[in-house]
Amino acid sequence: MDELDLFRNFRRGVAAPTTDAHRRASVRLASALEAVPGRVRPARAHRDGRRRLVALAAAVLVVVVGTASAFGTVRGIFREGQGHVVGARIPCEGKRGSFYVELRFPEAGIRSWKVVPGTGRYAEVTGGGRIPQVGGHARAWTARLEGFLTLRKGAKQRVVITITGRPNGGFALTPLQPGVLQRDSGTQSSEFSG
Amino acid sequence: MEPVPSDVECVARSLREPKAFEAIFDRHFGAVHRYLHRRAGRELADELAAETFALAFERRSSCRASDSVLPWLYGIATNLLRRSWRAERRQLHAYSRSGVDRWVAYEDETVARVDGSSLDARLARALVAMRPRQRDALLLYALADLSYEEIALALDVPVGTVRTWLHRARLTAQRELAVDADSSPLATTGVDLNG
Repeated sequence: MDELDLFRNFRRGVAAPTTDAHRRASVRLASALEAVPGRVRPARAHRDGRRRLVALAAAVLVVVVGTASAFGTVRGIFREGQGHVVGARIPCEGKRGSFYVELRFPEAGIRSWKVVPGTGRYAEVTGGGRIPQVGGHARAWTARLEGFLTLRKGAKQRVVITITGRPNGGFALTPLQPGVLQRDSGTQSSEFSG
Repeated sequence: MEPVPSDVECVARSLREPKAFEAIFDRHFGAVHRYLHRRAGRELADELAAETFALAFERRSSCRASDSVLPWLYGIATNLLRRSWRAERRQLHAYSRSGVDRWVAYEDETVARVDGSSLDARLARALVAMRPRQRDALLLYALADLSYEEIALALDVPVGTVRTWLHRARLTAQRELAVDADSSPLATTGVDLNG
């Protein structure tokens, strides 16, 4: 017998997974199914030289959580020629005032955000940008928003807004350029479940 | 009656309907868990098996399987195991010295004592002596019953590399098994007769 086959002995006596292990793994997978996976990566090329397969849809956004209609701030929009778009409006309550950010996740294309004016310092804020990073679930959920914001009478400033946790969590607004807009942080309620 | 969709069909469908991936979990969780259990112990296997399927779901678009996705899942599990290779090495060391395999859940402790053969202890010592990638390839071959081609798919390397690793693993095994039994009395008795 080949020496390598002797190692098959190591299979003896290994017990099957417990019901509890199975249940926990099932819950873990369910949370992955419900989480926002972002873009599906393109398939890798086969070694035999066949044409590289590009992933079926470059950016499938799988939801956020169950059906969009279940969430007050998450909504689904269908526009002809654009595919399904999931949007979320997230109220942010900071030390200098409040504002909303609207996230937009098209089925294919660039994920983007824009700010909606609120109160205090942000009563007349405008701007938006792209969402280069989003992922995780529940308290570990995080989204990084990059773009530009403009306050009234102020110059356009490049900013990064980091949003963490759902359904409730925090946000941090960090200007990357000097200007009237200052660093701020506070709470947000994204009301995504999962 | 509707035909049962293949693994590849389930993965392809899960790109549109994530729930379709649950069939993959139902089919292969037991096998992946047993493989991980054998290599890393039950507790770590519980954690890593769950992580394997969550990760597989996230990377499903890169699955290159043409038939069963099990080799692909074993590959993900093996990569996750790399984080705990020290624990595996420690366990193999202990096994090679005592002949008692503490990571295997026997129903009867007596069976565990009597079943620990001198051969198994020496095999454990041989596994310790191997390089991690050789050990990965060997255990995918021996524990998971994968072919050379499937191991290559799982570890994302050419088949020739797998052949080389297994050849070296074979040489190591030959060398370790040829060691004089007297040089390691505990390993060769295997059974702890004093309890």
